[in-house]
Amino acid sequence: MTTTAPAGKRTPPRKPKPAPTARGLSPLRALGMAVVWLFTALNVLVLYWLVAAAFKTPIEIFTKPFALPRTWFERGQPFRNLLYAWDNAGFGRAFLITVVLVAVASVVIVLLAAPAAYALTRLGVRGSGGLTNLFAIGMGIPFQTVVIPLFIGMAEFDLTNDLFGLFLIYVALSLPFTVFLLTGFFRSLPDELEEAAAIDGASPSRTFFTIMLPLARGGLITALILNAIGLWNETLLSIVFLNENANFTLARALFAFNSAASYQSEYGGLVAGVAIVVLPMLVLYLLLARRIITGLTLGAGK
Amino acid sequence: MSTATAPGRPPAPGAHLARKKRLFFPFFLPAVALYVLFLLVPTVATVVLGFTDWSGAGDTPEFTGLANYSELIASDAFRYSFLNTLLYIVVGGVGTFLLAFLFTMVLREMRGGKVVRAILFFPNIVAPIALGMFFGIILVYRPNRQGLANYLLESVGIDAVKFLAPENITWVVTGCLIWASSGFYITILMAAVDRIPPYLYEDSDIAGATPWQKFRHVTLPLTWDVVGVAGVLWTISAVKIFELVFVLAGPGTYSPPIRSWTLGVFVFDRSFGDQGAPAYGTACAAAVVMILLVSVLVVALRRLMRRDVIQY
Amino acid sequence: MASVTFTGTTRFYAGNPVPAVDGLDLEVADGEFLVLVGPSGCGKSTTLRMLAGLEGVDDGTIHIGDRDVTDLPPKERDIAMVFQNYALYPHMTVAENIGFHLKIAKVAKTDREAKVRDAAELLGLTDYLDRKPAKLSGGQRQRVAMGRAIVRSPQVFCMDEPLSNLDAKLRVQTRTQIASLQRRLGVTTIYVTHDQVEAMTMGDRVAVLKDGVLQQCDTPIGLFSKPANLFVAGFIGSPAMNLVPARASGESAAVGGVTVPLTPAQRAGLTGDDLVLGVRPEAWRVSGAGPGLSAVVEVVEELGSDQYLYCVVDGVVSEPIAVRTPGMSPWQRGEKVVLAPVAESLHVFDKGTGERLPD
Repeated sequence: MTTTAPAGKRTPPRKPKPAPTARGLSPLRALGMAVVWLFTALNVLVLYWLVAAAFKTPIEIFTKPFALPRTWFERGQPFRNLLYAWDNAGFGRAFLITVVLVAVASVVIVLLAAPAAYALTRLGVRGSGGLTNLFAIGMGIPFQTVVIPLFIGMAEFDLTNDLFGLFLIYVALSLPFTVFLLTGFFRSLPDELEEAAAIDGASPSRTFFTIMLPLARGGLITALILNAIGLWNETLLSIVFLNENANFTLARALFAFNSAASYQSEYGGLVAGVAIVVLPMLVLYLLLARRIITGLTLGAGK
Repeated sequence: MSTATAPGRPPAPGAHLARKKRLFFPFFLPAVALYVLFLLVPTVATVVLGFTDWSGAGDTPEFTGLANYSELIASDAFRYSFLNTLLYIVVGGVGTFLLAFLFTMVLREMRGGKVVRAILFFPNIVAPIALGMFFGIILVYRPNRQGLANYLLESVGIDAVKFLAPENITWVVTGCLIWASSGFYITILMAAVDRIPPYLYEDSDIAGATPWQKFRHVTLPLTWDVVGVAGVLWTISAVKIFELVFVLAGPGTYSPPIRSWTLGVFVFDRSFGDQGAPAYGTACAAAVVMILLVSVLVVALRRLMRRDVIQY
Repeated sequence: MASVTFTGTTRFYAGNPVPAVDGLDLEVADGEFLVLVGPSGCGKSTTLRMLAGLEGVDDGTIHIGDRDVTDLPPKERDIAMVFQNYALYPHMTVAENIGFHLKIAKVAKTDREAKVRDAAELLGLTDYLDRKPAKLSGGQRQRVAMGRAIVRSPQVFCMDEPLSNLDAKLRVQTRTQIASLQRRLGVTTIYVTHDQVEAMTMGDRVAVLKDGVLQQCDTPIGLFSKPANLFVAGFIGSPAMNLVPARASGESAAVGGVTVPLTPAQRAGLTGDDLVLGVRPEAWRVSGAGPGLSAVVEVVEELGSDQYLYCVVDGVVSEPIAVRTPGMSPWQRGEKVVLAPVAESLHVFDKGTGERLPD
């Protein structure tokens, strides 16, 4: 009737047995597993191909797509493609321009969007909901529908083919998404801290700068990163608004390089150019994958 | 007056609220001013210019009524653009969502699922133009020096395919689109699936539900709202597809063959393309069609997906 | 109907070398109501989930009737489960929820509706069949979960703390409802709870688990009157049994002026000189003077029908000794009293092993 005798020491199995439910492979599950792994493997392969090809000669790229690069290494110029893109195709200058433009624009976007999102969510002003929706609708307007009047208008002020003009456009057109994203963050903050600050006699603007902004720090950083990624990759507006090599951003330079390079069979340089655009994003992604993914999918998940 | 704020005492909560409300305009105006100036006003201008004939600087816009629209309807380029855009939205959307659904069935109980999700998501933060050029190199058809795709086909004994020829390009772009975007939608849907309490799946296990039945009776109904929002996001992003098609289908600097066009390419070609004088009126009319297409599809989608809110 | 047999059933979790359930041997008779009870993390839920097929079995077997179900998927086990959170589908009506398993099992629609109606009537849910779970009270949701289990007419009910989300009053009501329903249906039931009152009032037998090991399985009376070890002694009964350390010398054991005779069997079972005397709160005789433990009343809890005294006995036990006296007894806080255990309801345990010594 009693069983307290310590059952002989048991050795744990290397892997606990899965539940019987998880074992049977239904056809659908088997198909799903196959597709998932195939898809994942393909993505990894493609990334490998891109990095490897940036160090290859065109012949190697096309005849030995999976081999490690050799020819340029044997000739003692392993970085030949990257250097070609950097120097001859203007990616070096474009890289600097893009870094500065993207950094400044992202910061300014957040500086403008944060107070607006705060005003829309936490000041209890009537009609805030409707105004928030107005911003949300802005996310649905394709850039193509505003680009012609924008171009004409900016030309009036001599702001076409001008980095400051592009900066203005980037800031303005990024606001709807950023404001919408940040309203979500501000709405989720607790009321108590704001009330406590008010009781302590802090002025509303002081409350915003010293209490609410630090609390929303996570959201602000996410907004900063997402805007940086978006602008780094932005192509249409840079094609329309920049037409001098000296002003090119990376995406614009890549666009211009594309036809010239394929004409000269400069595929090594072309892949290197693609890599220069993609790899900084990959590094950012490896560091911040979780934040980027949750940030980009946040609006939809609510 | 005398009761409101005695010196040295914090103001009454009502007074504080009023002071807070005074912040509204200084905080809100800069953003909304830029928004109106750079987004709303140009949109209205586009609608107006859509009724005019105008070839840009030096020319004066001339009111022509609906002439641009009848011209669009008669134009092959526009017909291809419109149908291709619709095809990308519908076929690409269905493909992306089917793939995402299939993945949710598997990823929910798969170990290492988080890593897989992160790998699948990556193409979403790569510039579409880089994706396009990259696919261009991979898919190139050139006997003896094939791109990766044809290299693989030939190495297993299948004839190489002219992926980038005008008659195939639409389907190739659809495939690339699904490849590049499914990670985003998988992530959105998985975030919703992760919020479904696990005991509901356990109960379906006890009932003996197959993976399909679990999807049909548990996952889909409980993620329906998110699927709806994701559908709207898809529509918004698919309607403006431009760079991918432009570099993948064409030589790069000027427009690709019209069979591959999207509305985005059409607008660009008629306004900033390198061929001849710009036709801003026609381009604006096509841009208006883009807005209408998005609005109609989004409203239709929302109606179609509407149903009672689920409370746990 | 069928019996349920666990034989050496063992479960490990990844990354933990200690098994969550360790070599469980347990037999549940056909139609019996067995309660698994123990503190959180004792393996009671894991045991139930292994029976339901939601959890793998690393070693040993589980039989339902004569069938070895150890590796069968849940649906082939012919069991029904009531979850702690009820696991109601929020997008389905009550009727759809109750009928969901039948639908998956492809039971014809008319047949299904009749069964759902019968179950709803049995549980008083007929008026709510068209509602969604969110529009139901906690008690109603609990009944829907029960209905979903009943409607399958399974061989075994698995219930995982089905009352823990109800408020105290409703819990008492539902407790008796479930027990009488089970007796009426006669379905073998394994019921998991951490609440010893539920265990004692509902079960035909109660199995006490601790750290994945079965401590004792017996009728409620058996558990109460003959706890197998110190853990069961302290776990069953409220307030808990007082455990007073004592020393054996010759034919008796002594503690602070109290001497208790030891039987030859008890003396033979001792592994050392140290033992523990278990005295339930109602097994003390309280007096102003005489032989016994001298104590000071620290707290008096007056419940009307009963009175609990918590008495400090210096140098003998660190925690106050709980004593039950008839309601409205005259004892006061701070009063000096003498406590003497009633010899015939005394429990004796070996301190080294924690085991009960035979009477």
